[in-house]
Amino acid sequence: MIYTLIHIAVMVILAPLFLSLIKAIKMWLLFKKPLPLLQGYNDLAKLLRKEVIISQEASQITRIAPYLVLAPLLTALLFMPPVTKGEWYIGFVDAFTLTGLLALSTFFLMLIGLDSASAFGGIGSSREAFISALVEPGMILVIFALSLIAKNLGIAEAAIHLNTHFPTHHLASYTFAAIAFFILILAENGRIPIDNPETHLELTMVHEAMVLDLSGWYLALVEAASAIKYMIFATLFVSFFSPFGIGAPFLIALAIYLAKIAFLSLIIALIEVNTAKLRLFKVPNLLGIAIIFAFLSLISYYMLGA
Amino acid sequence: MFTFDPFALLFLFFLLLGVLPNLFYAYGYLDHIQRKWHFWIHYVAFVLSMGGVVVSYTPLSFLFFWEIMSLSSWQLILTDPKEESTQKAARFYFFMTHFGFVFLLLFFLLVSNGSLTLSFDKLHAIAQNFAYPSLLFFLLILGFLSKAGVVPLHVWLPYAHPAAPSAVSALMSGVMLKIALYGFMRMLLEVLYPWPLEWGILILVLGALSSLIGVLYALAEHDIKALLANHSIENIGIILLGIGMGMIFLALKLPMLATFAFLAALYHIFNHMSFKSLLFLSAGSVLHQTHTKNIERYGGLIKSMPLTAWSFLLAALSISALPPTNGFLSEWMIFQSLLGSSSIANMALKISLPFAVFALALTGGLAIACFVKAFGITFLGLHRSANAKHATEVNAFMRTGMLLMGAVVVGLMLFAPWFLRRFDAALASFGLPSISQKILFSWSIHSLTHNGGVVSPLFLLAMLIFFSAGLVLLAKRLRIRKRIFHTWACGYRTTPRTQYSATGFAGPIRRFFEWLYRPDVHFHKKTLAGHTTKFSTALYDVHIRPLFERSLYDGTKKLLNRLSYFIYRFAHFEQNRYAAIIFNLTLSVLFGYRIVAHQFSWATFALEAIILAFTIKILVIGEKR
Amino acid sequence: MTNLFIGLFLSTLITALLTTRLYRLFLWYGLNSIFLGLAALEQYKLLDDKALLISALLTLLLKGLLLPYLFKLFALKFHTERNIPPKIRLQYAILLIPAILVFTFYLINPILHLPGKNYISLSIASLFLSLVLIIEHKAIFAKVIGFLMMENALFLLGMTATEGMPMLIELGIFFDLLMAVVVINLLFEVEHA
Repeated sequence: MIYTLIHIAVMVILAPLFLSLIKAIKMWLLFKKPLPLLQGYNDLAKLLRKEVIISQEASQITRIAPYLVLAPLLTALLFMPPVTKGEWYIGFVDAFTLTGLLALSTFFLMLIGLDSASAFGGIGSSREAFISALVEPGMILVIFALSLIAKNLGIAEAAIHLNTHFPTHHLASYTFAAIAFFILILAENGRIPIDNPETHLELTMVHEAMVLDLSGWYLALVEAASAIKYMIFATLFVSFFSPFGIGAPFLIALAIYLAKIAFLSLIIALIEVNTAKLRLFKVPNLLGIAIIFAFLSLISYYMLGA
Repeated sequence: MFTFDPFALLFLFFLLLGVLPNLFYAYGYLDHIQRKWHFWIHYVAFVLSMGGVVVSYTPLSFLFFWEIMSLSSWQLILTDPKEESTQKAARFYFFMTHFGFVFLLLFFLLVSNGSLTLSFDKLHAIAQNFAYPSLLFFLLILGFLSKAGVVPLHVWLPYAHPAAPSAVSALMSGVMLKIALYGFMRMLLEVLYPWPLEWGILILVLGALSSLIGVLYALAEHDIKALLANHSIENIGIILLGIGMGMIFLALKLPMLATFAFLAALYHIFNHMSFKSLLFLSAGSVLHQTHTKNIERYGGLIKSMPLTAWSFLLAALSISALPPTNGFLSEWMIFQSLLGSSSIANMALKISLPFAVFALALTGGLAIACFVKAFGITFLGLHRSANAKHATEVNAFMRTGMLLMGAVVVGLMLFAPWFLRRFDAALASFGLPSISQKILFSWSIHSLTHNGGVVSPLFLLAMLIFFSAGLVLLAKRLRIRKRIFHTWACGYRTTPRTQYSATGFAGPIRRFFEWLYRPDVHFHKKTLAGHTTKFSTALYDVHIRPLFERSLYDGTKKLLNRLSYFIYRFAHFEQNRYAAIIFNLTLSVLFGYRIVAHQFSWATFALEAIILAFTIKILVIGEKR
Repeated sequence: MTNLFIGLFLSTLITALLTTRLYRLFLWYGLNSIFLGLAALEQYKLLDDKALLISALLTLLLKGLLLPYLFKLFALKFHTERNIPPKIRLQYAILLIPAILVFTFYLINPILHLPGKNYISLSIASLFLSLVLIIEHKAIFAKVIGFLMMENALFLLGMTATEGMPMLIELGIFFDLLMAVVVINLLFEVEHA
């Protein structure tokens, strides 16, 4: 129980760190002076000190939605797979519920975009609606394939099962599921081929456009939400697709877990440096690859038994 | 004549849930209606006939109440018959509902050997001895599913449902469609069982198609009530996915999984009734206050109509299948039953079922987009027209109606296990195994399959409330200062016209599915002094006619037109050609008699056909002029 | 392990179907051949058939490394258009590709009663997919790649259906291939001139 609480606390507290880490790696690769790793915390602290300015066109939704953007993600954190085997965990919640919670968070984020009557929020919401509608089928199919490979739909149980019975007989479908899931991570977190998290150009922005009218505490909530969302996806990815190190004692296991996430962040940073952002209407091509790979994962599970 | 078995009682309860809040609302809505007596008589007749359909146990009474239901709802569409479009919609509805009725009548005549007063339990033996059971099934599909609005028999629905007064739209979309599904399920489980595997697959395919096509056309719709009506098509599709999975599992002798799938379908029937009614009621309130159905003329209504807005939001969350609402729970169950396909032995079927999963998931994603659009454009931002500016909250009766319906939505979420037990008991009366012991444990719902999962609505709700409350308390503790002021809109003044429109919001998705929509785009721009980028006024207008309407219905219409033109030409010939037609007819009758009564051989048949063709060519058609 | 390689073989083929860049297409073709060669190597370990070993090594070296490199040289030499958008829309492709895989199985399933019928259906499906690759591109290079992928699919079919193809046939195919490459080169020269 205590380990679980520590694990959740670590996930919440370290969430901004990894986003800063990606940014720092990118800057370092571009021969810029990297920003300090604590930059994410500094930003949040600054936002907390600031006064909240609410747009005069905004309604109650702006005052309520930021909480409902963050709360489902915090709820989702409870269901993450354990870091170490002895840890107590909520095993019964399945992956559909998790995607539902993520969609709930996105739903309110899109409402924020439409609330302040500015055209930019509308752009962001409209694009986000488009992308997340196409992410959904890929996500569900990946979950379907994973639930077959791991013999369980429960998130935590699936991760533990993958650790004890590494699917050597289903490597092909396991690999395809991993590829599809990785593309979905990029899409859901607004990383570069899909969305550029650092830009404020109206041509390119998706996530940033929706939160343009938020400030202070509300913006802090939404920013924390996007950091935690990344943490959730990274945790899912590392515990499903590199299910090692769960057997170790808690502190070592935690260190391994964080190292894995840092490694994933490194890969994402490398991809971000090396690719250009896709045009909005090219994004479906990438998501289409994710969907086809998810299909392929299922088909090769059934037909090749691999 | 009548039955009160658990299944019928369940649907009576369903009617009660659907009608009671609606009654309040309809009373409040009355000042909008001129022919009050006309409305009330047909309203009551409509509700009672639906009850009649549910409890009847002979074909005769079933058909009688079915017809009353159709006719009264037809008259209800015509409550306010001034507009041309309303009359057209009513005519379309009248035609389609009787189109279905013919097949229903045929079905009942066939399965009852012509004696329509037999009770339903006697029909099974007759249906078993019937030589072509698939014919019965097709009649059933055409009869019931044309009423339920399943693709490709759905085209009337987005016209007919919005034309009625909002209370009636809620009844028609929320309740009447489910009565059609009730009839379908009862006939299937009571008369036609057991069925071959292909029937289930057909229903599954129809469900997947309906769900996708419904949601895609909903996204492109600007009329808020037509949008909701298109979503009814989508949800009927989702329900059919559940029923189709149940049929497949039953055909494959997996009765437990079949019960689970049927439970999911029944639960979604109830849920769809609740949230669709609530959506129509709150959309009706908006309509009542703003006197327009066009979503582009709303905006900012959450400030003047808070209760309406919040009830719309609740229903929108539920229809988008977001946890922990009831819509999520039933869609979760349908996903679980699709996941149960991994225990099927038939490999070809097993690897095709992911397509259904794909359809359902894509539908879910698009539904979220659609309801962000519907809620965001209607209730958020600035008012887009004077109508929206002067809107106020609706009267107390309508508010009561919405609140009660909201309570039904929440109740279906909170007491999900209780409802599922009732559904289980109702299905058990058809000989399906009871599984409530296996899937319901202390307020959580378990899946039956070995790779399935668990969901617990109360736990999710509690956690969401806990975290939100914690964050609110934290905000209180931090003493967040708030100020209401201009925010930076990139240097532009924020006016109603700078906002995103519904057309714009759906733009990316519309562009992605352009090959399906084939929109008529009108783009008028008054440019300034020859610049292409500078203009004084611009109008961008998109119209989308449903593909099915264009291809299937217009095609049929064209074919009929052409046929009738030929008949017309035949009927208006000169006398000698008239005589020639009679000559040919007599000849063909003689030939036909020879073939039927005498003896059949292909050689003589071919010879006679050739002779007939010759005489027709020479005498009737003649030379080309 | 053979299963994994056949899975990866399929995945490279499908990725090739979705690519819009010419050089990327060569890469996918190379990987496709490499995975095929690896699968053949695995099969060789299983069956201990010397002929299969030679075929596998030839596949790895010739098709996996040499041919993509040659193609790139040709493409550079003739300044070919590098952007090759597929003619089939993504919206259809998302459903078409899995549907081909599933339907081939549906069609093959009742005909065959061999233990390896899943492999056979997959290799016939990849045959169809490479036909799709030929159909969906106008560019001659993409058509050639589609043809070569088809050859790979045939090799897979032969390997899985007959448990090791007679070496002579495979070598013959290789020879045809090289001839084809030479002919393509000539064709380009003519077109270019």
